[in-house]
Order: sequence, then structure tokens, then C-alpha cells
Amino acid sequence: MENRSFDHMLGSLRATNPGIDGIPDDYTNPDINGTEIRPQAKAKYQSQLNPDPNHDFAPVNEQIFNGGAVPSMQGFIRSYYNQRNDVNHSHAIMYYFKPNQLPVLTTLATEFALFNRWFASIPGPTLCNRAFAHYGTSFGNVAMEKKYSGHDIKSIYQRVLAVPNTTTKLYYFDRASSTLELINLLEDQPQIFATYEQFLADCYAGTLPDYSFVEPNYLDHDGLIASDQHPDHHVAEGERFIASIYMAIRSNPTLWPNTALLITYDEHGGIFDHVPPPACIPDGFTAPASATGTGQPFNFDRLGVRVPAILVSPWVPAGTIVNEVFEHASIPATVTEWLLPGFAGQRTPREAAARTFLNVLDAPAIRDDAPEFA
Amino acid sequence: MPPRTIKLRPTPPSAYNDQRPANALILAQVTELEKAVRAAGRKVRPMTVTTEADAAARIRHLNRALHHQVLLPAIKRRPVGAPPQNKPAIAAKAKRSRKK
Repeated sequence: MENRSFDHMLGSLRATNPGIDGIPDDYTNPDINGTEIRPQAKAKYQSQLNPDPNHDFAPVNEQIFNGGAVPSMQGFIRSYYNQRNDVNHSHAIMYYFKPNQLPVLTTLATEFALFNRWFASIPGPTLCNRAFAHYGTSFGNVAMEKKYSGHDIKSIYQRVLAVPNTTTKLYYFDRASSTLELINLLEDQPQIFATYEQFLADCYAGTLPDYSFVEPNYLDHDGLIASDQHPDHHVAEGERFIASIYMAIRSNPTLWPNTALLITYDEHGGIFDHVPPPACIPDGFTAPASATGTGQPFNFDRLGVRVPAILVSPWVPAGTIVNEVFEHASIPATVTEWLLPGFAGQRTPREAAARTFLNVLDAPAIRDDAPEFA
Repeated sequence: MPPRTIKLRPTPPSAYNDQRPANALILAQVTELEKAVRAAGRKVRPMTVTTEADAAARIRHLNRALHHQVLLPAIKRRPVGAPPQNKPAIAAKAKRSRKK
């Protein structure tokens, strides 16, 4: 999914379960006049975050550091103000959803496993973050570059397909929405691509590959509403999309006991979150100062802003809260641990160090109480 | 006990607006697809993309071009301008009959 922070989507759950690291009572951000502004439960599904909050590397730096040296998470309003010079409108960056506005996400978060500390891999925009989910690195990119060539690090799809009898697919919504990974993966592995319609058919037939990555609809077209939740797309349609993926798996009694579904977001999209991103193992690349826009190079030694992440499976105990730090490199790291034990190919130090989440699937017996959406 | 069923409300039709200006992510998608189609040896005519409807049409077109150029089985592909490896049997038969 696209561009929503943890506190914006799930921060209100702290009121129902203090173990969920949602919005603290004393968290504020100063606006341009110096007035301290509290997060408010005023988030709307659409027509509120317009213009799209800036989430390039330099603005995200401002959101995290607010001009200081420590990650205070105090610069969200100031950053958003810079886009429209409207004090009242800049407060909208501090709005969050109530649980009943997001029945799918909050139900899955409380019925299965919620990650309290899943961070974007880079304090920057979509494509470099998504690259970490596919490669465990963005090859030094902190922006929207797509073509990663001339490196020995294979995508998780290439790794899986290199092993006999293991399968993988990347399902994109349709040809007009396309996949954000087409160009990276096209040359070597065109056979991995399929559409959302095929995903539903594969779930029905019980023929899902070992590892699947599913992308939402990125734009309104041909009467179809975008489901990626990117501002200013309707958040409820993204809820319906997540529910459709869940129910496609849930409805096949053969597939459901053998499948885990991870729901996460590429990055926070410029929207507030109160948890400072931690330092991390560098991935071996450096982005030059000219690329970061901050006047400083970036060594990929700290993570981006926190995003929602939920692991769904009948083998996850209800109400599980995971407190360790995860990031998008945890995805190829987990798939490699699960499908490719003893993998000897090249990986970045970041991916090699990323925490995996197979151990979250530790219910003593399979659950038969999973909710359904209709 | 039967599982809990949660009813979801439909997304209102007013959510749909294909005349919405395409966001930076969508525009990046168009630009990168154009680069990929060019790299695959096809000409790409410049086209202004403003709305999501524009972007959808453009991405669909570029994807189709890319699929034809790159994703079709290798047996159907040949370098631009190169003659076919084997003449179709029907053409050879027609040539023989003309000689008679």
C-alpha cells in the first residue's frame, strides 16, 4: 500500500490496547506560529491531504529532525506548511483515523500480529523504499529511479526461481495501473508477472506460488477506483482491496492454513508519526549530497518513518504485538530464510542483518476464529 | 462459534475522479515506462500526461508496446530490420507454383 504512517492509520488503537505504540497523550508538533498542535481524530478518506504531502528525502529529513540534530519527529506541520503557506491547512498533517473508520486494517491488526516498529527502509519516497522489499537495497538511490542494473544482487524473485520447484509471482492490478517493478524485473524474469484477477483465480484454484507480491490499483481509470490509499485516493477503497486479498486466501480451506499475508506500506507519505526512526546497518551504498538535497551524503545508516505492518495467518495468536525493529529488507530476508535456507548468493549487509518474522507464526494450534469481511 | 463477519460499506461513487491530476508516483511510472520502451528499441512519441485518465491510457499503451517487444516468446522476436529466419511454408509453395 502507499503513503500512510502508523500513527495516522493505527495510532488510535493505543486507547483500546496500551501495548500498541500509538499516539502518546503528550505528543505535539509546533506550527509555523509556534503553537503546539495535538494529533486530532479528523482524518477523512479523501479530499484532505491536497496537495500530496512532500516525502522526498530532504522534506522527510525536515519532518524527522525539524532543523535539529536529533530525530524529534517535530517537523511534520512545518514541512506541510511549506507546500501551501496555509497555517490551518498545515494542521491536517496531524490528523488520524478512528478505528471504526478503518474496520479492515484495525480488525486485522488486533486479530492477528501488529508490528509496533516496522519502519520504511529509507527516509524518502516510494520507489527506493519498494526496492528494499524486492532486493534488500535500493543500490544507493534515495529517490524515484527505477532501473537498477550492473549489480550482482538478485531480486528475491530471481533467487526463488533459481531453485527447482519453487515458484513466485508479482501480481499487479491491471495493465493500465501496471506494476511499479516492471522495469527492474522485466529483462530477466518476465514470467513472474500476473494481474490481480489472476491472483483471485489462483487463490480460488489453490495454485498460488510459494511467494507472491500483490500491488493495488494506482489510479482511477475505466470506472475502477484507485485502491493504493495514496493521497488523494479514497482510503476506504484500499480497505476493500485489502479485504479482498484476505478473503481470497481465507475462503480456500486448503490455502488458508498454509499461507501468511503481510500487509504493509512503502513509506509514511509525509504524514506524522511520533516514533524516531532508529539507526541501522548500512547497506554498503552511499547517496551523494546532490541526490539527497540536504547538502549531506547519505550512507543508508538509519531507517525511514514508521509504517503500518500486519501479519495475518491462522498460526498467529490473536492480539500479537511485535516490538522488535523491522523494515522492508525484512521481506526478502524472511523469504530467503524460509524458501532458500543456506542461500549463498550476494545480499547486502542490511538484508543479512534484517530481522525475519517466521517466528511470529507460533500459535500452538491452528485458529478457527478468523473474522470474515463481506 | 461461527466466525465474526464484518460488513463493509461500498466506496461512494464520488470517490472516482479520473480527471484528478496524476500524482508524482504515476508520472514517474509513465517516464520510466517510456525509457524502457525506448531501450527496447521502439520509438516513443512525446505525449502530455496531466490527469489519471491520461496516465492510464499512456501506461496501457506503453505496457502493450513493452510486452510486444520484450515479453513475447523469443522465437517471435528478431532484430528490427532483420529478415525472417524461415520463409513461411505457404509462401514457398506459392513460389513453386508460379515457376510451373
